[in-house]
Amino acid sequence: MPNNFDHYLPLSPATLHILLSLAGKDLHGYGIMQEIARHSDGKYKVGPGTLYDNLQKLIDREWVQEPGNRKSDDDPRRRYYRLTAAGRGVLAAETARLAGVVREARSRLQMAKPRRA
Amino acid sequence: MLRHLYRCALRLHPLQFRRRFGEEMLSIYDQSAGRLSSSRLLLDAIVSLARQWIFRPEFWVQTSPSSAPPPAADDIPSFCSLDPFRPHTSAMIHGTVLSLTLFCVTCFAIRYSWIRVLHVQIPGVSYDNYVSIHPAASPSDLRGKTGSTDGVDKTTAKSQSNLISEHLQVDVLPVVAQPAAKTSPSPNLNSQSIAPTVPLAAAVATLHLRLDSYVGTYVSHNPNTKIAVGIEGDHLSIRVLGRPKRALSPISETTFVVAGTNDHWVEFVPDINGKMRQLRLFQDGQSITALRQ
Repeated sequence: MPNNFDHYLPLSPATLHILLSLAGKDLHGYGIMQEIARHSDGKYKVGPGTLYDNLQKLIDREWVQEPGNRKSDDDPRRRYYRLTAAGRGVLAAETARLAGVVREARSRLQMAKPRRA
Repeated sequence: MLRHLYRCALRLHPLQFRRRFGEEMLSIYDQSAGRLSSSRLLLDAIVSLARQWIFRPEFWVQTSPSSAPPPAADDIPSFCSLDPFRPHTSAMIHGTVLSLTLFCVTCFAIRYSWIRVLHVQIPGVSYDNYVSIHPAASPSDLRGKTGSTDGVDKTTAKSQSNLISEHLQVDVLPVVAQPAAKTSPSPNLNSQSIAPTVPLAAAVATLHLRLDSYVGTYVSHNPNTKIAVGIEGDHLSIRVLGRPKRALSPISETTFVVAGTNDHWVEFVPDINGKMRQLRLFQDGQSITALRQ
């Protein structure tokens, strides 16, 4: 099933982080920005322009959707976003690709270590 | 102030994007103004604005569900019609830019190309090849003629170069030499130094010359000279004392151009019987008035 998303890979950093932030729970835009800053230890931040540009593409590809129900005490301007099954699949595919890259990198770094006499 | 600018930047986004995310982006601005720099958010909105208009034309117009082809009924084929088709604004803009670019490149190539395949020449008005008209000329001689073999006519052409186009075709009526009964008033010439501006085609086409009424000797006292006007064949000639004889080419019933000169012409003044009693010779910016003997 992940092979269906191969032509979308590799994902851009913004897309990867947005999908990753939505993997846990539904979030609104500002929540996504905060979650991205949190799980990247503040090393990667996206502005609203970049965020909604990517969300627009993800919604168009049906990787992300807007759930109908929302909290009653929430700001009415906020809209929540949820990862779809397709979005979860492409995230899994990208994670597997990255895992392969990490594994390959580690093995090569291991081989390059100088041996003790 | 920055919030107002931010709202303006949001309003300039494509309609579809603005409707979908505008309010939420503004809420983020309101929420994060204390934490993030407002100017950074404004810069982000401007970058987003450029990005949406330049790189996201596919999202400018949302395809409505009604534009999808209807489901096919049993045994009835369904066809897609282009009637509701409306080209994307982005496609129109791209097409316009591409067309203008192609047009400019083509013009540049035509103008500066090594290979001169196209020689585009815009015809201009030229007065050099004036066809001299005198009473002896027949319509067939004049029609479509671009030059004259007569040396006198060539020189006359120069003197009339500001009057007639080379494409002028004139039907000249035959000269009738008969006693003058009535003459029309002379054309109004504004200045001695300015050549007559009577429309030649109209003037000559309706001209009935009565050559006898012009013939005679005209005497001037200032300067003291005599001017003889006679008939040579079927046209008039003029001879100023001490100068060679010249042919006269009519441009109206009382105005004649001196052939072989530059800006020389003669204007006759008739009496009440239609016979010429005075002439004025305009040459080199001066005029000589002579009375008929």
